[in-house]
Amino acid sequence: MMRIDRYRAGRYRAGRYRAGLGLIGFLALSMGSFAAVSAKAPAGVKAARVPAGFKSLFDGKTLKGWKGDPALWSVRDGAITGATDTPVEANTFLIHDGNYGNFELHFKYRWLSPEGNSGFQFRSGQMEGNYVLTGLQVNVTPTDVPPERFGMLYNETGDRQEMAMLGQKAVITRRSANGMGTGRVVRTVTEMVNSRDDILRAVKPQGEWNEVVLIAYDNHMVSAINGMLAFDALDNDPVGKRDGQYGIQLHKGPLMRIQYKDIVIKPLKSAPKIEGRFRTSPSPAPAPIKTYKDSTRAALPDVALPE
Amino acid sequence: MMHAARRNPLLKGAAIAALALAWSAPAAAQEQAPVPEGFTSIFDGKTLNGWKGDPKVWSVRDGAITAHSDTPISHNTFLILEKPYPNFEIRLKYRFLTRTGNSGLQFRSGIAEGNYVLAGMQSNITPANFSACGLPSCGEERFGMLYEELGRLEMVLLGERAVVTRRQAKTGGTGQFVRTVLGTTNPREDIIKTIKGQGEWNEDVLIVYGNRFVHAINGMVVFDATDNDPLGAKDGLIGIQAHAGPPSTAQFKDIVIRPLTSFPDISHLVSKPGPAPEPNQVRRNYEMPVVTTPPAN
Repeated sequence: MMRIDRYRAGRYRAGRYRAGLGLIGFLALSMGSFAAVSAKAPAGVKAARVPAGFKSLFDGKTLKGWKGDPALWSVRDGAITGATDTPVEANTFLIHDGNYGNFELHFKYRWLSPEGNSGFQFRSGQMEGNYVLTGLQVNVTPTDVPPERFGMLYNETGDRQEMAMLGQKAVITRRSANGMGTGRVVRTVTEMVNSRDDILRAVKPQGEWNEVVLIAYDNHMVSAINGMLAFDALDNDPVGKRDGQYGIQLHKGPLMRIQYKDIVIKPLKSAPKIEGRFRTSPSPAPAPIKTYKDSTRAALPDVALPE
Repeated sequence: MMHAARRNPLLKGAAIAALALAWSAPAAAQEQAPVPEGFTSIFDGKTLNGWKGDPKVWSVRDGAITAHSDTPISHNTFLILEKPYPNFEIRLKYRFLTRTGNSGLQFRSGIAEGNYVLAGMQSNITPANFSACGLPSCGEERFGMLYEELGRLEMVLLGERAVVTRRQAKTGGTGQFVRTVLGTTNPREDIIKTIKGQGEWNEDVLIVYGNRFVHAINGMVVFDATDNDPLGAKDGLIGIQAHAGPPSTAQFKDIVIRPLTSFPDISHLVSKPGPAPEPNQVRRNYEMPVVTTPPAN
C-alpha cells in the first residue's frame, strides 16, 4: 500500500511538475527520443505474418476498426501510436469496434518515452467521457513501476481494480462483507508462476518491442510477456463480465509515447491448452495469500454528484 | 438492507408474537391461480423442484414457497431458480407472516461464496412497515428499490425513474457509479398505501428487458430503471432472498414467467409521473483500500 501510494503520488507530482515548469523542454526531449528511435527503424515497418487461425485487428496503415481521440492516436512506423503532447485529464482509450468473449490475443508494444502508463483492455464497454472504457485490462507500463503492478490484471473503473498482480496465480471471488448486501472481492494467491525479477528481466528496454499473449476463456485468463507467464487468473466472481470490447489505454499522468502492432486474435470455442506453452517456474506465494476489497457500504446517504 | 429489528428489541418481540399468531391460524392448502397466457409456472405449488436453497430456510407451506427461520439468519441466503433468464417478465404474489422481514427477487445474478449466496440485481421486497422512527427517513425509499446485492448496492430507489451509469472518478482507474433521477413513477406515499398488511397477498411484477427494468407492486410502478453501466449483467439467475436478521416468514406463490423478445406494453400499470427531486444526480465511489489481513468471514 505504501509503495503504491508513493508510486502514485510521485508519478502525478512528476507529471504536474513537467506540465507546469518544463513542458516545452520535456516535449523537445520526448520528441527527440521519438525521432531517434524512428530513425533506427525502417520507414513502414512490415507487419509480421498473421499466424494460422488468427485474424489481424490492425492493418498496419490506418486506424480502421478503431475509434479514439484523433489528437492522441495515429499510425507511425506501421504501428498504432498513442502520444500525449499535453497532459490528458483522464484516462482515454483507442476502442476497437468488435465484441469478443473467449479468445487468444497477441500484440507487440514498445515504449518511446521513459515514462507512461498504458494497457490493453478486453471484455470492456464504453462509458461517458472522452473515449472511456471500463472492464478488464492487461497493464502495460515501463519496468520502473512497483514490480507487482507491471503486467497485472486490472479492472478499470470497476469495484475489483487490481485483480491479479505480476507473477500471481490467483482466484478472484466475491462474497458478502457483512453477511448482508455489501460486497467483498477476495483474491486468493495459490502460487507464483514466475518470480517478478525473472519476468522483468525478460522485458525489453525502451524502444524495443515486447510481445504479449493474452488468453481468456470463460473464467480463466492468462498473460505472458516475451514467453514468460506473467499471471494466471481464475475469475470466479459472478459479477465479472465475460465479453466486450478491446481497447488501448493512454493513462493520465506524465507525457508518453507508446506503439502497438501485430495485434491478432483467435476466437476460442473450447478451453485452450496452456500447460507447456509459456516459461514458468512456480514457487509458493508469499503471505498474505488472501486479500480483499470491500465495496462501499449499503444504506449510506446519497451524495450529490459535483459538477 | 439494514434490518430495523436488529437495532430495536421491541420490534423483535413483536415479530416473534406475530409469528406465533400466524402459525396458529389454520393453514388451509391454497389453490394455484391459473397461469396467464404466454407464461410458464416456475413453482408447482407443492415442491421446490427446479429451485435450490438451504433446506433449513426454504419449504412449501400453504401451497406457497416459504422462507422461514426459527433462529436469526446470519447471512443473506437465496432460493435459486436453476434456469437462467436474460430477458423476461415475472409475476408472483408475496406476503409476510411477520411484522418485519426482508426479501427480494434476484435477477441476472450469479452464485458467490457462502450458503446459497447470489450476487446481482434485486427488486427489493419488505413488509413496508414504516412506523415513526424519529428520523428524516424511516427507510421508505428502500422499499421496492432496485438493489445490486454484493455489487452496486442501491441502484434506483422507490418511485424513481432513473438511469444508472459508470464514470471515471478523480484518480486513474477508479470508478464512480452514478444514478440520475429523471422523474418519479408514482409518489412514494401512494405506492406504500397500496401495500397490503401482514398476512395478505401482494402482486409483484418485474420486467427485465435489455437495459430497462420495471418493478410494479399491486399494479403501481415502483421503479423504472435504465442500466447504462457497461459492467451491468445482461444474463443470469433468478432467486428469492431470505435476508439476514431475526426470525421472519415470507411466502411466495403463483410464480409465472415469460421470456421477452421486446419490451412489453406496460400501459396497464399505474404511473403518475412527477419531476425528480433535488439532487437528481447521486454517486457512489469505488475508492477502496486493499486490506491485507485475512477476511473475517
